[in-house]
Amino acid sequence: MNPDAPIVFVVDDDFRVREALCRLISSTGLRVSAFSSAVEFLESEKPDAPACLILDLQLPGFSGLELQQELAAGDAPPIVFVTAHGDVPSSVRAMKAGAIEFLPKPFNEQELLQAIDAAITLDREARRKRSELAELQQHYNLLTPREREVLSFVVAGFANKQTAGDLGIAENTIGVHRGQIMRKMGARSLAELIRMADKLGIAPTSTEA
Amino acid sequence: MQRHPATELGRLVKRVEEKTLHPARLNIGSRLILCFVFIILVMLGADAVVLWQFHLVNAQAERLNGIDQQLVTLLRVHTSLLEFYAGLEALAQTEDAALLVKEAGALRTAALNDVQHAVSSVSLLPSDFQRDPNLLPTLHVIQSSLTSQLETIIKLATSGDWRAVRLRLSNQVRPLESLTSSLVEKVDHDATEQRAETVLNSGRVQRLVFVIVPTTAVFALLIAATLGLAITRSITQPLAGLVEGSKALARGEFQHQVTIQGEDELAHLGQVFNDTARRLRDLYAVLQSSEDRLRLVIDTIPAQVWSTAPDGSVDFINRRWLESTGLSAETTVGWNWSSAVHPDDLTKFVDALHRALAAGEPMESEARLRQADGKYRWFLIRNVPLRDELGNIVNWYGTSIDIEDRKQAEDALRQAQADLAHVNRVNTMGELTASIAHEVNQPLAAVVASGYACLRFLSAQPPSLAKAQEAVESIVRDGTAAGEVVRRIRALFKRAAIEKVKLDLNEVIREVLSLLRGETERRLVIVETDLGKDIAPVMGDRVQLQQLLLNLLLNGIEAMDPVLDRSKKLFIRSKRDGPETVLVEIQDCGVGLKDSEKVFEAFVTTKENGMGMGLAICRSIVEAHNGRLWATSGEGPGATFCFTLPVKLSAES
Repeated sequence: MNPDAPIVFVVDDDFRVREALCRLISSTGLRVSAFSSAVEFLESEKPDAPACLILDLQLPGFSGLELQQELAAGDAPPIVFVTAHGDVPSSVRAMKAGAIEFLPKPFNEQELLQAIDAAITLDREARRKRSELAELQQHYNLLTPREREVLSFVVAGFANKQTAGDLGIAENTIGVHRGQIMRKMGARSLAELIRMADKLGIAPTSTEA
Repeated sequence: MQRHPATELGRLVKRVEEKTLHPARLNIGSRLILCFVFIILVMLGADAVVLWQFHLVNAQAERLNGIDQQLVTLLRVHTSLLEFYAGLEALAQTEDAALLVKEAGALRTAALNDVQHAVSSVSLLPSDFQRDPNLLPTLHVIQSSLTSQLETIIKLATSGDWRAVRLRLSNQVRPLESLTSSLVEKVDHDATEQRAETVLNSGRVQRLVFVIVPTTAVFALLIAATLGLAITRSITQPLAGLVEGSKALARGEFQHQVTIQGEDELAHLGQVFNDTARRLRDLYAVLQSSEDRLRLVIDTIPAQVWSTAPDGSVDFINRRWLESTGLSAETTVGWNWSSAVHPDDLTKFVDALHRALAAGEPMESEARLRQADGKYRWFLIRNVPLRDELGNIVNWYGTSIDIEDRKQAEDALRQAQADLAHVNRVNTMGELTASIAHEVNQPLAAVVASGYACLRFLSAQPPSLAKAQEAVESIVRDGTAAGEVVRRIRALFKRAAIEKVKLDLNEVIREVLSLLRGETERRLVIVETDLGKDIAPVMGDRVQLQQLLLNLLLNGIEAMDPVLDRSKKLFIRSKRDGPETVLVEIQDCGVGLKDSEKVFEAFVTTKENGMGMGLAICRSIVEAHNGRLWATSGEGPGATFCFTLPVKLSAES
């Protein structure tokens, strides 16, 4: 099987559920890997492929929600929660924390497979975005501190003259910095530069400053 | 101090008079002595009179005797003189002077001796005896003349003049003889006269004696009898009064008083008797009032009180029993009370009573007793023995207390507890819905997922039959598991009467733990068990014991909710605790207990949303199984709840 083919991770402490899920998912042609606990999942080697995590809410020791929190920091696959008895507060928490779906057991095949599909699509997109952003970040890393400073003024839409006044340097120098920024970032237009800065999460300098 | 004898005597007489008139003034001893002395004096007086009379008779006899003696003396002198003259004449006939001289001396001596003897006899006669005045002079004449005449005769005889001798004898000596003869005649005459007079006197005196002696005796006897009677009466009359009083006292007539006369011992005794009777009366009154009070208490206290002989037959029963049962005292005494006991309770009660009587141990039993209205009410009947100092049972004392209301309250409470237990169970199950749903949905989810997979395997081209079969096998297995869960839950919800069956406690623990698995996992509680393999089966109600364990385990789990700094560990242990007991410990490491006893009270809770009924119900369940439930705070954090249950002994099957 293609190593880049999507993979579904199943974390459930009940071996019966685990077994049945693996059987169902693999029957659709997806790769599936099952774990009996959150810790086991965290410690396992995971292939670099679009993935989906089917997570039982009630897990011994390390609960589903806790695992979600733990994974939120990293590039974890989207989570489809399954639960034998989901209470409302738990489902709200899970959805707020970015879960794709919250499915009560026993689940409908269509809903589950759609959720898995949606999750894998999402993960695929996320993976793409993550690689794009990584490229931008590499470009951004080339900027000098002064150029990064100037960039935030550019993003905020300040004219060169105003920027020069605020930073206490010559207006010509600002023009030179802008040219360097455009080159280093690989932006073909000011609009593109601003989109890049937005993706990188660079905050525009506030007008009052 | 010297008293005048006359005044002394007068005083004595006066005193005697007084004492005699008022005999009871004198002590009985003195009275008797006085009486006897008086009787003796009367007797002595009578004796003196009799002696005087005898003396009179005796004097007459002596007088007669003196007369006879005088006559005899004279006759002897006369005879002696006759013999003297006869001897002399005989000698004169012989005419032998020598012989006469020789014999005359002897004759004279004999005659003179006789005369002298007569003189002395006459002079010895009593002085008051009237002697013949000629007697002594005559004798003296004879005495003096006899000697001279004899000498003359001897002189004549010596001269040989025998004729003169014979003449002299007849002329001079014969007159002497006639002198005595006339004297004899005179004295004889006097004696005859005096004897006649004396005989007369003597007869008079004897007649007098016959009158005086009996009169004196009768008089003395009369005095003695009167005195004795008086004395006796003075003793017997008060004695009779005392006897009468004693009889009255014996009959219980304490108001009886003895009449007191005088101041002797009997009067004193009567006084003491009256005092005693008065005191007895007071004492009896006090006793009576105390008995009345006691009886009032015994009759009024809100219990039936009774006593029985050592064999159990009733000998006393209080009024409350009679009023309450409507039976009479006669129908209760002995063993007849048993008719009041409910027929269903009678055998049990009588057995208990006989056991208590045989063992001499206090008894406590409950039985229904028929009331006057025919209805039965429950009574608590207690019986204790009273023993003497040797330890023998003297009596049994018992009470019966109406516990009908309490019984009903107990029944109501039991019903309320059962209802509450059911409500609690339902509540607990409500709380457990998440767990239950988890338990059921888990296998269902597996079934459904496997079902979908199976459909896919079958609809694939070509169908993957081996995989489909595998999936169906899983479906069967997981569906069965789901059914088992549902069965267990149904058992928990069922509201059934307590039904004690032989149970393996470990099995019950495992069942409850499996029900709680969802809950423990959701709350991240680690359950550890140490179930003893050697614990004997217990007799118990499965549902109630499940509920007990469910409550205790949920409590432990909830107590650990606030715990963040350590792992939430719940530890369950079962083990033998002695030959007849099984012990179960449930230990958590939660917030612990403030008061390990108060937690069992109803409406006491440490939980924010708890009703405070769980542990109270747990305790009632354990106690209904004759076990014990308690809590300790133990070492380290958390609390330990322990309960014991008696094992089912193989003997009692």
